Amino acid sequence: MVTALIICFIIMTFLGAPMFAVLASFGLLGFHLSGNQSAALIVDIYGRFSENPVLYTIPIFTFAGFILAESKASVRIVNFSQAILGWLPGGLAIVSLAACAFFTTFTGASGVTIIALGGLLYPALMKGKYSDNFSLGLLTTSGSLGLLFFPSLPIIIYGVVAGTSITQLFAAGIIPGIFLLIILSLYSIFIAVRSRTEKHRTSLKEIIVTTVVAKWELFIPIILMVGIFGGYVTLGEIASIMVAYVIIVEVLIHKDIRINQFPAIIRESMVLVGAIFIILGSALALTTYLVDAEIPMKILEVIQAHITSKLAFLIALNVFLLITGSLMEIYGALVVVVPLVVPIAKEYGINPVHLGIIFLTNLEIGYSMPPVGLNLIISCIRFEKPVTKLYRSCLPFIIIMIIALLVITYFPWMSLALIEHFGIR
Amino acid sequence: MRCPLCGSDIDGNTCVTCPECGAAISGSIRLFSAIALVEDAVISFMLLSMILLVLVQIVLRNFYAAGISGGAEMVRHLLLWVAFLGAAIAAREGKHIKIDIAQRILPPRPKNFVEILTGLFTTIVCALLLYASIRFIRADYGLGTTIPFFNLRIWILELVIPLGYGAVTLRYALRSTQAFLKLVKGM
Repeated sequence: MVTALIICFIIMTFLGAPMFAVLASFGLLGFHLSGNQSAALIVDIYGRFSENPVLYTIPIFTFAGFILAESKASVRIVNFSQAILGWLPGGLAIVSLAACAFFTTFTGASGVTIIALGGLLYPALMKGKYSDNFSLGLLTTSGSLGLLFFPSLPIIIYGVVAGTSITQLFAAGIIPGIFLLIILSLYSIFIAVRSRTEKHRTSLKEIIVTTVVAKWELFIPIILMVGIFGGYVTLGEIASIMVAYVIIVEVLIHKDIRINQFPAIIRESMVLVGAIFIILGSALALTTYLVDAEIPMKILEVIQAHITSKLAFLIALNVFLLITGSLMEIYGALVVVVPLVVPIAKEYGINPVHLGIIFLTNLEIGYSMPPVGLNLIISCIRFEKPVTKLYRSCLPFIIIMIIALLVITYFPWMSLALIEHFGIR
Repeated sequence: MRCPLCGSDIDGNTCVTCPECGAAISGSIRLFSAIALVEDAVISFMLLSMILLVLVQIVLRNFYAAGISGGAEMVRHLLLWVAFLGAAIAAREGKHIKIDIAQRILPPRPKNFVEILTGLFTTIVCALLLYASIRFIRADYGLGTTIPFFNLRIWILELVIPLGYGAVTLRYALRSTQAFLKLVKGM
């Protein structure tokens, strides 16, 4: 009976039942099997939500990100990056990478980046004589670039689910995130030189003008940096300060957003938050059962019979996560896989913060992996191109990012250096 | 107004059926769009109160060395409202996260059948969660626990859990019924 139910649940997963319902069904079954009342599951969800000191930052940061995406901040950021970086060979491609990373950090790889920036950058890249394939691949894979930078939502979710320090994770993501940006920029320069793309002539005047125009947005990362690592305020307070700042800038100073647009922006951003949280609730309750029933330890026994070295485990983990990332939304993948993998990885002596960065990098790549990475689907709709064309155009970017992933995986100091140097806890 | 089944924008005054999903716009559908309005208003209110409460606390702490008793607790309960109402709205707009390969590759008729199956499954699971959360609330109602924030009864703050699961249950039930009718009519 139990086996039949489990098979039924798994079939439902792949037929397209919502993740939260699938996870809740496993949770309900688990609670039933261990003789608990189903109300205990709600007690668990309620407790996890109402006692966690950082979860409430997620809707606030998301709201701030969606206000930014809705405003003309994208134009200002792109113009500014164009003035600073545009003169380089491959300058416009590098501008795209930087601007996409900025927006993904604040909107949590929900597809908003491709939708908000795609329409701006794609025609610009085409005009700059970049090939169609290169431009599409660049913009599609950049839709999840920036996940490793604070205060990205997937980092917070990972920290909550894995029980790891979020400040440490924020610090750990900086070097690997910049590394990914640099390695993709180098590839862009290589392509630009080979295909003789147009270079942007920049002037001191242009730099000054664009900086002045974009100055309010440029302060945001600085405010966040001071707030998160300065230790004066909590993460929740910095989130609220940021949203107040963003509202002042976009509504009062730039007048890009009118107050009567708020309900629509709130609805759009909170749909994302609600969809994440209902999954998170189900997953946390399921985790309670899994840990009680010692399921991770049982999986560990099976794995340890086949994999003995830390290196082999990490390779297997990467392959597994890349597949997961291409099949599932990042949030689904995080809440389902993290509770199972964290205790196992601990047995292999992997630092949980480093593991977090490996996880997030994998999922970032998984977003653009065929057959159904989310970025591919969104690009397919946004640029009205057949998905098979996108598979081909993303391929070089995926290969480069996988190489970067291997580097990040096998050099833990990239993730841990800042934490150790500054003694971040 | 928005179609309560598929979430697409429609003109409620001139359309009899939704052009996107074929749902009939009747009195009950108008009721649903009223519910939708309330959800949107309440979630905006809750989110903005949450942000405001945190900001007020910062000001009070730094300039007056004071605080609102139970403020932090209240913020975390407001999160519950935002999260569960958000989930209800996500169900309304069909934006819950799922693995949708099957629905992408299947032809219309089998796809419809799959939609009925998964909709039914989701309805049953949500109904169980709804039942569980009602029992949870009843227990806390009986205890009469309060939080320090203006001595609010905690069960009132928790009310959004059954409301949220209830709305999700209702919407998936509707959705699978609609898919079933479509299959029967041979569309």
